[in-house]
Amino acid sequence: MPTGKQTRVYEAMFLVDTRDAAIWDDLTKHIEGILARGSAELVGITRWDERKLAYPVAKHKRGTYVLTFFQMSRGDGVSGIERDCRLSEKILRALVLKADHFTVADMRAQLGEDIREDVAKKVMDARGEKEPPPPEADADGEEAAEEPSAKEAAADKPPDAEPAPPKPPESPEN
Amino acid sequence: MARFKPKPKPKPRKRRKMVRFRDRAKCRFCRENITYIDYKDTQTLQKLVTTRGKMLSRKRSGNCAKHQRAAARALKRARFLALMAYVS
Repeated sequence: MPTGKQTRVYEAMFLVDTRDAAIWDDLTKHIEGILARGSAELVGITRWDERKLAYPVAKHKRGTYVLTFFQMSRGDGVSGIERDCRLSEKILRALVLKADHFTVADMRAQLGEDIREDVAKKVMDARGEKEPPPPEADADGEEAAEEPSAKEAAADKPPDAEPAPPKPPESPEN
Repeated sequence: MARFKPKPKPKPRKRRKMVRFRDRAKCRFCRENITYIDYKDTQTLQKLVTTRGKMLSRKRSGNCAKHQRAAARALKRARFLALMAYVS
């Protein structure tokens, strides 16, 4: 675990076989194990997408992408993680990148509910980031709640006018 | 004898709209203040490659040098992860 040293956040994308991804718990444990061996602390792990590959990789035409964010001490390096990924039979491809340009809000947008709030808070504290203001979201929610009511009010009025149009077509038929 | 007809006067050229020039003055990423081109954003990257999967030149894509480099980096990452094709 990163303590005392300066930490850095990394983004890792893993390409795995769709069959392996079906057993999600095993796969996450496997990836978490690789990251833990590299003394990394996981911010979040999510199933990014399952799609047809642009070209076959190890004879696989389809694959599942697993997106993770993790923080690690600067001195530890990611070479150990990359080596473990190459040796792993479940992981077809892995790409580890620096994610310093991503704010915690960006990570939350990408990870969704799979973000680990305690680690995310640590990252925010280390970076000196502030949490996005929740009152704005509430205010939007209120506005959104108000809008339908206004629409309903408007919708209530037209029914008086609406029944009139169907009548004229009936009269020509008669 | 009027062997040579006088040439008709050339029509005055229509002026091009300046808005068009102003629109293209900046690259597509500069216009939207995008600093990082994500390799996961394949929809954007698809616009920067030919049908064969080769990257468009700056002249064709209209990118500035900085964003062309960033786009090339993102494309290479996307290709490595089989999100985009090397050739097709």
